[in-house]
Amino acid sequence: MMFKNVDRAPFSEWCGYWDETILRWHCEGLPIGTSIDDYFGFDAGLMVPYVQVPLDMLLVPRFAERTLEEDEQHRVVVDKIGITKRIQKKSSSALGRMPQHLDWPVKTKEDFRKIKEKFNAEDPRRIGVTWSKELVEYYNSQREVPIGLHVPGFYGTARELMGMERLLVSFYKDPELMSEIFAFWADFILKMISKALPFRIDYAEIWEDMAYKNGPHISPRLFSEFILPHYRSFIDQLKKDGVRLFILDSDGDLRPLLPLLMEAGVNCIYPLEAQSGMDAPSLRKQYGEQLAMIGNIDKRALVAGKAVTRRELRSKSSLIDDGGYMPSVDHLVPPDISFNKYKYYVSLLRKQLFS
Amino acid sequence: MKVRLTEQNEILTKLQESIVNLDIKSVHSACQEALAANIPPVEAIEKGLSKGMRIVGQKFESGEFFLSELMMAGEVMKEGMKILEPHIKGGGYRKLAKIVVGTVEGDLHDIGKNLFVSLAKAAGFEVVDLGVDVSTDQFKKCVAKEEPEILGMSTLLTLTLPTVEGVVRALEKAKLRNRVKVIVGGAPVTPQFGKKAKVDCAAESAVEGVNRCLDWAKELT
Repeated sequence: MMFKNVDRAPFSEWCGYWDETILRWHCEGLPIGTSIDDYFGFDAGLMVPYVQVPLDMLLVPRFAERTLEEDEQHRVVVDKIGITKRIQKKSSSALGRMPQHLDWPVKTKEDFRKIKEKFNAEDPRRIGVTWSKELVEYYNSQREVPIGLHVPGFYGTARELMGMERLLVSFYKDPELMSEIFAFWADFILKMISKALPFRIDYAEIWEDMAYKNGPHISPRLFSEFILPHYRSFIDQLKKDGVRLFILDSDGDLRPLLPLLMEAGVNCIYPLEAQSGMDAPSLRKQYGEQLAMIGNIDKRALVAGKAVTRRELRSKSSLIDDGGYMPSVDHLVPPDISFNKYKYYVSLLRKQLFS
Repeated sequence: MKVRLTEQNEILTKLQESIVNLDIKSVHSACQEALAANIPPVEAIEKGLSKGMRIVGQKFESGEFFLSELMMAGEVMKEGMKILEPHIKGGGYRKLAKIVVGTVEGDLHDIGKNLFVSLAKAAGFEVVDLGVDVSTDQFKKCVAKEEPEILGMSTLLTLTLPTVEGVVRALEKAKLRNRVKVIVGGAPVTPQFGKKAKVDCAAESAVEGVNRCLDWAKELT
């Protein structure tokens, strides 16, 4: 991913799979008890769950999960983040069980000041129970497996706490609150980074999900004003600590924000959703080796069948050869891709990577 | 009279600008000014606030505005309507047309749908929002009962796209399809899908969807 000479591009499915996809594939021949990466012989450490520094950057303690109301069709619950959700009980589809978000824990400055108590970087529970000198030594000795640091992003975290609609208007209605949230988050991340340093960190993965099919949720101006300075600060810190790869995770069409993200130090993005207009070959033409990429294999092509899948992979072949690109389906592999269709895609990818 | 017209135009411009500048304080004062100057509230809405929303829509389509600006403009519009609407004589604001809208069965996503609802209301439509996870039968019954000019369906999931086709088939079977324009929107929706599903419009964005509804409303008048 750093545009150096390598034997081949990574062979994996970085974004992973919907649970329902795996269930379907078990019915279609995927042996039960065999992991996908073992079945296909994917490279280790490049799929969910990635090998990452065991630090907990969520709320500590979590909210108590509870059911508020329930009928035959739906259940309304409060989750560990404090989000009230309506969940379908009987959907035949895992995707259909994606919940409707009804309410969020932060509506006012007072709510935020209260929830800040749950983001105490010094809380000992933030260090995972697996953390040990032995683990640090083992991870650091595993040169074949990249070690990641997951960084909950600024926009993404604020959206989890406030809900998207409230967040988007708060940039205008309550800019002071937004500045306070982002400054606090930057401070929290910097403190957490300092705890991760015993590990060799090969990449930082920043989760944002700040775009949809028609573009980013917020304008470049809002990003510059509220978020960009904080990106610079934590990326600069990690650079000083030797981290070289900064991977941004956002669905949707992120193109208008890319120059700013890159200015802050982001040098890799995923999953590059094709249905949102993201096109890895075009981005390579535009940004060259300044931007590595993961994903962009159009899931709809795999659904469409062999000829379209061949065409799709062919459109990425020069990127694969040039480096700085990890082919992967452009989001979680959905359950409308049959096991046979996926096997065909993997066989083509294997041929491309290993020939 | 000439001075008065100039003054009225200035107030209408202020109303527009408050929307375009995403300024809640200005919309409050401009609405109060409009009422004080005896501008009919419907005129203040149509020539002031709604005109501002159309400019916002254009800025969104040209890439100058993003989702945050679109949502905030909707908030400013709502604030203005809160002040102006109670002053409309004769029971309220005559709507352009009625839209029944919902997210299809199996899908609980509502942000795109809510944005469409907010923009459609701002544009002057009466909107019956059925919410999320709306069954084919609910859509059909609501079209029969409410007799809307437009039916809007939203879906985020590729898996629920066939449900849209099912609703269209159910409307055909119930002989309701010819009475209503059908519009669909959502991440996986493409013009090709729209053709396959036999809908009248597969909108790329909420703004495009509302613009198409405005075109249809013009055809109706």
